[in-house]
Amino acid sequence: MGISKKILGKMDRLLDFEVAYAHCDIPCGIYDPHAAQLAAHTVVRMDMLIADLSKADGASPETRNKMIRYVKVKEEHAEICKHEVAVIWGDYMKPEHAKANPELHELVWNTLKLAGKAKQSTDIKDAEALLESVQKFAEAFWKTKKIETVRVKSFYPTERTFVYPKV
Amino acid sequence: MANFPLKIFKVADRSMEPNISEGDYVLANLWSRRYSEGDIVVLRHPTKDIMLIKRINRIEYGRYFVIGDNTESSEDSRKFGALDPAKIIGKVIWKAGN
Repeated sequence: MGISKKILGKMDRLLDFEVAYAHCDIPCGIYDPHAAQLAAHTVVRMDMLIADLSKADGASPETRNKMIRYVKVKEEHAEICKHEVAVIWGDYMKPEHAKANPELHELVWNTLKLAGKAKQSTDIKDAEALLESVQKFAEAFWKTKKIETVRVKSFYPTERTFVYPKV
Repeated sequence: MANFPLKIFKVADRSMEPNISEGDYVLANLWSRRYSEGDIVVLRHPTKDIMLIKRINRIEYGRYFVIGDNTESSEDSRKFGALDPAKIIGKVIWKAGN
């Protein structure tokens, strides 16, 4: 460290210099694909509930109310999933990550497309495809940090897997 | 106008790398009123109550289009547009880094 920086560091402790942010997404450096996976699980769960409810009397106000709520939550969480993946990709991922993983951009592109498809559809296969793609993205994310991952069965009613970092 | 022309800022985050790193200190001339393309400046964020440090990329009709040197990781005029001159606080004239 340069001598001038050392001196200024000591002065900073006394005078508390004002901060100029080079990048202003605050807090910087906090990224985790956990939220994207939670959102994808929610989409799967909503498709399960929609399928169950479809067997009920569709004309009753209560059934229709429930169906609208399920679809609304599915829509919202598919969007959350897209947002979470896009933020990690746009703000965290660097050219060296794409160089190390040549499939990264296509994986993100597919994930965003699958989130859109999961919104349009009530077929659980579409939600599962989204979840699988998000989990591959989670694995790619942790790989950039040289952290191994493990897929374990979640404790959610979806009974699908969840990608966790091995820490 | 500030009473004293010089002010030290501590830099947070990485959008000015490799030229200015997180934790570096910069000295800004607060009385600067003439800026050129390529100048590094401290500015007021157009919508948040924080200071930013960016480089003037171009001057468009008297407004400043600023971009971080680390273009992969920078929120700047590409997002919030060119800035009114009143948003520019001062010109960076010295850096204390590694």
